[in-house]
Amino acid sequence: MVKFFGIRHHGPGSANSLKNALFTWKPDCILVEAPEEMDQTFKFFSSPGMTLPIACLLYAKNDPSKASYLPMAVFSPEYQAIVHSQQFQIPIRAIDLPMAYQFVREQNLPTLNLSARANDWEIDPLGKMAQLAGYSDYERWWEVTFEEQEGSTAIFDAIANMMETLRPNGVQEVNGMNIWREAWMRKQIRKAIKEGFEKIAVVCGAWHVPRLQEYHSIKEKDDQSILKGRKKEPCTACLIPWSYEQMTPSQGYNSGVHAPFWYESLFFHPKQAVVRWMVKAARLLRRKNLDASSAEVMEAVGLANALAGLRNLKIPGLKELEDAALTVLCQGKQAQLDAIYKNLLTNNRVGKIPKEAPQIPIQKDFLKTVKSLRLSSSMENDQIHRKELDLRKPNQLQVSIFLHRLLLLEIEWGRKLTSKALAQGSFNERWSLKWHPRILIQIIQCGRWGKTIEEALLNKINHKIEAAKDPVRLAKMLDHVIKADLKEVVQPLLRKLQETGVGQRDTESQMQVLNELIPLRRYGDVRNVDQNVLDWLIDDLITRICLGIQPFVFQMNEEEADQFFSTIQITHHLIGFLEHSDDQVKWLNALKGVLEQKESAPKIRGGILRILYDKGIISLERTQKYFVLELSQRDELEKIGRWLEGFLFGSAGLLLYQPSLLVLLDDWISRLDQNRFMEVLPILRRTFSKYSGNEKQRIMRKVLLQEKDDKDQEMEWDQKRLKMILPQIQSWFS
Amino acid sequence: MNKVIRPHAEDKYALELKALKNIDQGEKPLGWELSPKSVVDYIMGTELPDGTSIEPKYIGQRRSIEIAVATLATDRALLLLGVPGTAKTWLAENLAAAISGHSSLLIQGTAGLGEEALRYNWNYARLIAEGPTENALVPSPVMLGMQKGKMVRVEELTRIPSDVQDALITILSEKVLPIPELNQEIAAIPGFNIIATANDRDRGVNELSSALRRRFNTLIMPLPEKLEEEVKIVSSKVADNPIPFKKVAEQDTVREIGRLVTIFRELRNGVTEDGALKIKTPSGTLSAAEAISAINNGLTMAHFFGDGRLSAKFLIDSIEGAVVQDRVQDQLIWKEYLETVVKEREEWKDLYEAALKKS
Repeated sequence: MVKFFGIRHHGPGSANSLKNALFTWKPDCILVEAPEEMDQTFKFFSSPGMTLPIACLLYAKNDPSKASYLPMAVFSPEYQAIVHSQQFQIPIRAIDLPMAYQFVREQNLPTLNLSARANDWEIDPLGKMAQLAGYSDYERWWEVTFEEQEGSTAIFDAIANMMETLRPNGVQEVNGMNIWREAWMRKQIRKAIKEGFEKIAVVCGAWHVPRLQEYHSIKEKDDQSILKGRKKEPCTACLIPWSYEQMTPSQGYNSGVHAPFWYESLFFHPKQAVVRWMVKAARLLRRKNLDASSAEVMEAVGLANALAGLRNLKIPGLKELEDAALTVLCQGKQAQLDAIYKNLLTNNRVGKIPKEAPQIPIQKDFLKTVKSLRLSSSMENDQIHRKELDLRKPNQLQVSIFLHRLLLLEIEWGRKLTSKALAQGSFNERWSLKWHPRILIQIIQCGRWGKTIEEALLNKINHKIEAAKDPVRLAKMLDHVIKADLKEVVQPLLRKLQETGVGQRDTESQMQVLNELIPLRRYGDVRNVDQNVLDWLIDDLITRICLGIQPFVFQMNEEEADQFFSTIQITHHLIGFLEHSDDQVKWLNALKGVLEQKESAPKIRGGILRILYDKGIISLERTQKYFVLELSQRDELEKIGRWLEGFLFGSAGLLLYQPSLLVLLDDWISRLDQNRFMEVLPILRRTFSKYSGNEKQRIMRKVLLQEKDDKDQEMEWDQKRLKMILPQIQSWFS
Repeated sequence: MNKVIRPHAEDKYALELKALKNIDQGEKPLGWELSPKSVVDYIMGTELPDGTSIEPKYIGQRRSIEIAVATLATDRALLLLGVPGTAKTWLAENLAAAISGHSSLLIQGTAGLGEEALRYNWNYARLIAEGPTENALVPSPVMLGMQKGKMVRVEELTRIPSDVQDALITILSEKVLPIPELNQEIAAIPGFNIIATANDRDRGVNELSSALRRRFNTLIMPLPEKLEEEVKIVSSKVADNPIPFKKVAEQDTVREIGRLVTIFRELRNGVTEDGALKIKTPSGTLSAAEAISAINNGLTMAHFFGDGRLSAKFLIDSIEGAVVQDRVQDQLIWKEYLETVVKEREEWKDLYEAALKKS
């Protein structure tokens, strides 16, 4: 005899009824709707080390990025079925279509109408019925509808009948996956019968009941043909800890439970759930130092009951409870309820997995490393932990290396905080760690790269290096690789960097690579990097850049010039840190060459003049000459503006302390007629907007003062008397 | 019966209450005229099976009204809390009318209210002549409500001095009013409860003691959430204006109400409805109630001094009256609003011009 128990996934009412019905009916075999691969995990469910909620993670062996998870809480009927089977030592089997089939997506699904999506009825038929009966809280509907028939299997006969009406035979099926799954499940039912079981309990979503009941009317070979020749992708199942919070729809779980903790109360104490919920709310409020007396709890329960009556419900549901708690316990203040709301819904419950349950090797390695680095305490859900690391201490250096490795593996546990106070190359690092059970999935998915974090990382990086073509990206990777202490990869990476022909690349890319390499050299000592290779590469690059830069700037458009200008700035800044002075000399000479290159972009010429002037390579007089020369190109206003933008880049000190330049600029501007002034104004504004307010004020004062001085000279200075005192003044200064 | 300016809710909606009572099948709490479900229907408005249309008395969330009615059905008192003009008094009156059949047991809270106004007073001539006897006792509305099992309203609860407020504690928790002079007590019969209103905006209010506060369920009355909702509230109340405005102009009036409500909302919220521009907020509350009186004011002026049409001129006059409460500050804010918002709206040109002409 086969009996069908149509349930609602994660429905505490279903779970309770199922538990009692199984106890009464005493099956000799249970078949549950769960992907076949999950079978092997059932044996761990009765282990004392197990705390719900957990999730069963199913992933494709060769490509763990294809993964699916099935959460299970104590109020999940499937879990109750498993518990029953273990208690009475009867076989239990997962009979749903193996994930191995479901992962192969490109197979043609037997779907006639591809655009049709699963409707409400299909996803949650019982919930939909509750809605029609006026219950927004489905579980209360279950309670009201079926409470009288505790322990009898009649409930499930009634449900089967209801579903039969909702899903009559012969109606065109739109969901192709359902056709496959139901065919597979029918096959499993027939198999169990053939094996000689006499009382078979089939626990499945209510929606499937009518189709599964057809196991005797549909011919076996028809079901076979549906699945024949389908491709499979090998698939593994493992258990991972889960949390109530992750079961809520806000966490992206489709068939989520809005209030898992409420469901848990409904499962354990169906008759007392209302009072328990309200007491919990009061206790949480008290923990936040808000008043909530027992008397108020009673009043709140009373109000919830009254509200239920008003809304034509036999017993209050979650909505009534929330309204009552808000009005009585929180004095109408929504903010108070919000403060405890999340905790009230989830009780912050997090599950645990027994030690003996299969873990995949990389997961084990990860946990072992976490333990040895004493990071276990940071694995609390959603708690942000800050870590300040001093890299001179070996243990903390190890932590930094580990966190960098996770970053490279794209596991989102730690985030590196950058702060201005902590200069580049400092011995300190700051991290912010935020654990989320999702991270465990990411780790497991990295399992396809190797058995340990290090191995996975090496494989992944090598793969990335193979595929990378852009030397700049490689150089950036080098930085990460060194911080993650992957010495083995440094050589291949540098080699690859050479192979990509960074030498043959354009000067700008070379400079970008150089900009990545020089900082490595600076703090490399902390990380024990082999300096020789790096030195060689840096030297080589500088030589190439110095040779190539002059022709490179030839005929650049504005945008290119803007970008190259900032690259030059960084390179110049970094080269200043190198110990070899001939590198610097080479670099400055190359820049000098660019200055003479009349066809190069004006902004770059202006900027380089400024760099060379600041370095004292070009004197003030020469600079003035350049200045006059550039400004004299009367018809090329645009170019002059760009040149000024480059030259005046950075601090305003130049104009403040070299009045001669300010005068030149001022003269030039005052001689522009209105139209030409308007034309050049935007660029000038852009240039000056980089200066601070204070600097701008000071420049303005200088200009005003200058004008006044000019006037003073013309009006008051007596040339004769001036000549008389001049020799004396000259004698002071000589 | 002589016509009164403002009839009690139970008189004004007598027909609706009667119709509801006739068809009411629901279980009634002891002492109630209607079942809780019918009370909610009376407040929110509905269409009865016999064709009687129940006008909505409160436009807003049904959930709030359900909480209010359910509270009164338990033995907790109800406190309606909110800024002025959020229909607290109106809702309290209609709840009392629907539940008890009349809404006239009322205590207006003031700073000068004494304890005897909440408990009982004496007829001193009799007191001196006969000594303390039942005949010499003058019951307060609260005492009457307890004796008859009716709803009692306390308006502006937080204006009553704190020590006087606390006289309500025994009444609400023990449902008993002791009269030590007679060695007697009045025990409330079912149907008695208190609906209090309080506003949390004014300064100088007397905060409820926590002992009293926990005898009340608090319902915070919100300002209307959406523009549509507020226009609906104002329009429905404006229709009650005793001065009939010309039928032809009705469409016009609705448009003007829309504009006025928009102006009030924008000034109140400090931002334009499209969320694009920040505005300074004036000192007045500018609630829906004030919008209603401003529109009525404009209509009345138009009726007596104009052609009965609510033109831009009258509209601007009444808006300015409501917005500019403080001569200096509010005047500036109003001017700025005219220049930055009203002037920029093409279809509001007439308003801007009317305002210009005035100044």
